[in-house]
Amino acid sequence: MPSNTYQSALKKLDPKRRESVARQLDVWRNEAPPSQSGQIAENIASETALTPDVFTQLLADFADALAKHSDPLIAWEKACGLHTFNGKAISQIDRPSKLGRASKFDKFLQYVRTTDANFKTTLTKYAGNDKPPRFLKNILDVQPLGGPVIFATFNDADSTGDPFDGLPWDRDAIRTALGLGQPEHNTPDPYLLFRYHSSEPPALPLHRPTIADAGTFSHFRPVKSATAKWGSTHPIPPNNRNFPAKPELAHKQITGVRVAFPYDMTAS
Amino acid sequence: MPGILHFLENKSRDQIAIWLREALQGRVHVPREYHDQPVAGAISAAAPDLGSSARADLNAAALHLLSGLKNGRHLHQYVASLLRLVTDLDLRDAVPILRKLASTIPALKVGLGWEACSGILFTLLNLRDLHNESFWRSMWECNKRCFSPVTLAALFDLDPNAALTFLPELPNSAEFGDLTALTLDHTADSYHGHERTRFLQDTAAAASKCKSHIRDAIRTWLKDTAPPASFASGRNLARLHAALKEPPMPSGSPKLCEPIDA
Repeated sequence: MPSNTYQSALKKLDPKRRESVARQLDVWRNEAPPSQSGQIAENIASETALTPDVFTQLLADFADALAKHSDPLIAWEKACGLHTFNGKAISQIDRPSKLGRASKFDKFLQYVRTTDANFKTTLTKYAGNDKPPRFLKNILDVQPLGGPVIFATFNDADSTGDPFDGLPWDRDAIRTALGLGQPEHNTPDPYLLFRYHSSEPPALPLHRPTIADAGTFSHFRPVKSATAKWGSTHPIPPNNRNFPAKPELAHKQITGVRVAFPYDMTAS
Repeated sequence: MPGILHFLENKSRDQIAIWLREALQGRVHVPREYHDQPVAGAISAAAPDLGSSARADLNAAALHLLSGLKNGRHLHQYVASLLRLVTDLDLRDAVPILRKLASTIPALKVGLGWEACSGILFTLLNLRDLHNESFWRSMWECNKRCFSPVTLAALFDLDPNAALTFLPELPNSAEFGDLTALTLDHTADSYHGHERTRFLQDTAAAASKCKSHIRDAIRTWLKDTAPPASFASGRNLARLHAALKEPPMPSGSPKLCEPIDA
């Protein structure tokens, strides 16, 4: 059932753009077999975290991008990139001071100027070490912890507590509970589990995540309540171990300078 | 949103090459397994699920695009993504192409920019093509600031003891200091016992001849690095600390002197 926010945003578009957006979402919804694009269309229709004005502008930009790009998903990505971090800011009283993020090696291998083998070995060697050598801290200090939009989880029972509290540190548990995607079929790398400080000056602006922050990532799910303070992960089915959804927020790209040691690494 | 297999199965090699180029340029969407997965990572992760024919065509398409790098201007991000894909697919057949590209670097015939050239050299290393010392020295002579990290990694893989003589020549940069410490840390782990102690001593001696950022990073790393206790005899420790020009730690210090295996 489309949200009122979506319906009212759609209504505010001029007829040409409205038709363009509605037609594309219909195409995605009606793909057979049901596809990840269909889920993105459902997410757009279910969004409640964007203000009507921002939602309208997002859809207008999507319509304009559809006219420019032959791939509708690229058009959606481009439109989303213009409207990130428009979810409600997490209030001072609700701010978690410690955030957690699961990352793969490949986020770092793009940037660090050493061989893959050297860096993987080093990250593996010092996982769990609360006093890593200075060179590793210096290197992580300047490496991006993620892409332009970083999704993070936290401990909603204790804002200073371990963000991964209650989760086994095996790869499948982290992937499932944090809604990171389908299992990889080949021999996947482990996840690096980073905990980092959000409140050290300058305090990191934290936002309830929206469809614009998620872009084309189809495992995102908008929270149904417009008044929710933050988002929730969507544990990946079949979720045989019944992991509950974890709280989720979005923030801008940061480097590892906020990372608290030790970081950890999942087992297979 | 069809999966990557949809784009690659039952397509001609030419179609795959066209799709791959557009995907790496960000002009067609590539489904990711997680939110901020790099495009090359998403494609390489799907590769094992391809049929043998499609997998061969994907590899051939990547090699074809790599061969095309010799011509014209390319977006830096495209080159970086293509090199990452070649690495992730472990395309050893790319080595001759990469070597050919590398051979044009000293004459500045490759119009890719220094960062892309550095990426080509790192890809050679990631594909375990070590070449020889004179090759890396010649690369380094082309652009010391850009090629120092890759030269450092290569020389320590080839011959760590010979590579130590290279350290004093490194440009004075905090980043290079940290990368040097990382390489030394990795290299030291390949040694055991007396060999390790000797390597640490030789490293300390080399550090004293280095520029300030490099020297400081190496000395900090040496302080962080405990030699295996069974070989941390008083004499060896004294040598090490003499090279570091610092007093030995007090007797009984848990960091350097307690037997690990006791």
